Amino acid sequence: MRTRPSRWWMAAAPVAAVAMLAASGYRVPVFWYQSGQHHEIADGDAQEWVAVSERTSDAHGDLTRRYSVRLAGLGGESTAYEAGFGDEFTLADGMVARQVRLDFRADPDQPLKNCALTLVDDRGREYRVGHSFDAIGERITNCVPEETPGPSLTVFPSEKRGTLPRGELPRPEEWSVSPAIAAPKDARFVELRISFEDPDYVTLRLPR
Amino acid sequence: MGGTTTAGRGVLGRARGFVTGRPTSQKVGGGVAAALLASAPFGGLAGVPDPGPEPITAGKAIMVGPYKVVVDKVVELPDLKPAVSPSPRQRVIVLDTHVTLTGDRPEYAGTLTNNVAVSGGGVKTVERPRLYFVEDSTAMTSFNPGLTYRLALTYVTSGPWQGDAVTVTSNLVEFREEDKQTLDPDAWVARDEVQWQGTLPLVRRP
Amino acid sequence: MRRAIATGALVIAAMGLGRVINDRIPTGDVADKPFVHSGSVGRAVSLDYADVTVTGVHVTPTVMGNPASAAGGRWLVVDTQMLATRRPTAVAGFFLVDARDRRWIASTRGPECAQRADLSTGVRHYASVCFDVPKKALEGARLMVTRGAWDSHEAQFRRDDLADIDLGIAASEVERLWASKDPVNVKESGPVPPAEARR
Repeated sequence: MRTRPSRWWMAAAPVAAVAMLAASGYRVPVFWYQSGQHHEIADGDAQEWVAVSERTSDAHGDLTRRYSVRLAGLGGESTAYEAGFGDEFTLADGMVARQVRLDFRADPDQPLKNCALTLVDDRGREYRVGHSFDAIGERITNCVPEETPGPSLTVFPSEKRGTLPRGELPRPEEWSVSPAIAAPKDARFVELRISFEDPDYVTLRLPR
Repeated sequence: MGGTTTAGRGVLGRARGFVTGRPTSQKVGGGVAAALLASAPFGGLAGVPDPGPEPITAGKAIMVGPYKVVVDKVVELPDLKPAVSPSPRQRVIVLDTHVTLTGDRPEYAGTLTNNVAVSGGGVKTVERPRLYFVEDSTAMTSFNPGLTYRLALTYVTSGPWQGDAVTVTSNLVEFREEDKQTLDPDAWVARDEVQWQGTLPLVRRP
Repeated sequence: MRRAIATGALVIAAMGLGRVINDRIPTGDVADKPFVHSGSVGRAVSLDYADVTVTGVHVTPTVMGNPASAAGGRWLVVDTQMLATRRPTAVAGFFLVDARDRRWIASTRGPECAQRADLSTGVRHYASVCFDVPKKALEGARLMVTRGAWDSHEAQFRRDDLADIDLGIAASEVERLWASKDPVNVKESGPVPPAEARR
């Protein structure tokens, strides 16, 4: 009987190459995908209600954050803005505090504190408020009423989901906010992004 | 029975034949191995005895990795305000030191604080040791080389120290040029081995 | 026979490919160096992610504050202005390189001395960085500013833009600077210009 040369390696070689890439590719999710806004979970135009359901997790496990949002428009040309610790300062270099008028609808038990808002202009520049790395501007209540912000995500298993600090009233079912983002007065914005946790975000397009 | 004896003699005979058939160099090697084995009960196979840690004495410099450390004295205090303020039942053990980072590159303070420990007082140290510049009581977290600081290395203890002596130990900290596992070359790494040890008198301050 | 020739050609091709990878594709030093943008005091250095300007350089034994911070050697205080140009940017790498290519890192001891800067796009950020250094570090010192923090193998800012700003300290000036005793008041870093800052 004639011996034939082994051919199994022909099939194995691409498998090995894929395995090698996969083994060294953990850096892509860790250092890129999860460290920025890379996953659009919903989108819509200004003046249009957009329903969002976002998968996230807390001390008790997985949960889905549900809300609807409508971008009513932009406004404001004040140069007064909030520095750290609630101090005020005056914006310079042609920057103004651009107000983002948003309407929300959500159940009072939904955790909606600590959202980050990003205005993107027609040159791709990003202006943001509310992210944990943002040193100026409001940090916690950009998407919720200041007095009745509703619950936080639980951090310890001993906390119950959706509980409010003593004496705080529940958030209404529907409300409006107008947080301010430091942005150039002459910029033309094309979209607003709402993000609670990277990499997920919601895009609301502004009229051109 | 007889059969077994014959078999035994046969084995021995074959072994003898095998040995006589070896070249001289192998016979000598075998002899040395046998002698070494025979000396085992008297320590022939034991390793070189561990030289043990070198002594720490007050005022004399020791090396903790890249750090030259002189422990001047050891003091116990109820607190070291404004830097360290423990609860009333706790105490603070302070190593009053002069520290210099040698070499030619910066280093973080953890390389020092993680590798010096105090013991022998019958109490526990309750937090990680911390390091303060005595002149302005600011916390030292990093060093540039070539500067000497008078530093307080502080240990908060669960209660008053028992006895009048404190044993100070420091780990061996080595420079690792290459490490294939962590891809972390040229780093100071602590080994699980005491390099310096000494017992110093404890000074108590109310 | 034909199979032997094919195998031989394959082996030679593989060796050739290895040679090309070794010789032509940058590995080692070149592959992980940052992109250096040089500058000097008072001139903005444009990086991919931010503009960086050094506005002042001071040498002092004391940085004022509560508590005032004493230097082990002398404080070299570098006043900077930074402006993120395209998106919010965290800058965590501030270190010095001296005339003999030695590294010196920023201290955490001065009460308002900055170790990092979180920049909002388009909003000027003012920060002073304080280095506690011996005399030999002053001559020819340059400030490095980059996103990744300094570590012993300088891996955090590989292939990233880095500003290399000459602080303009000549050898002849070192004695005078070292002898100066005037304390320096470092203002809180942030969006408020130091001249107007209350803290």
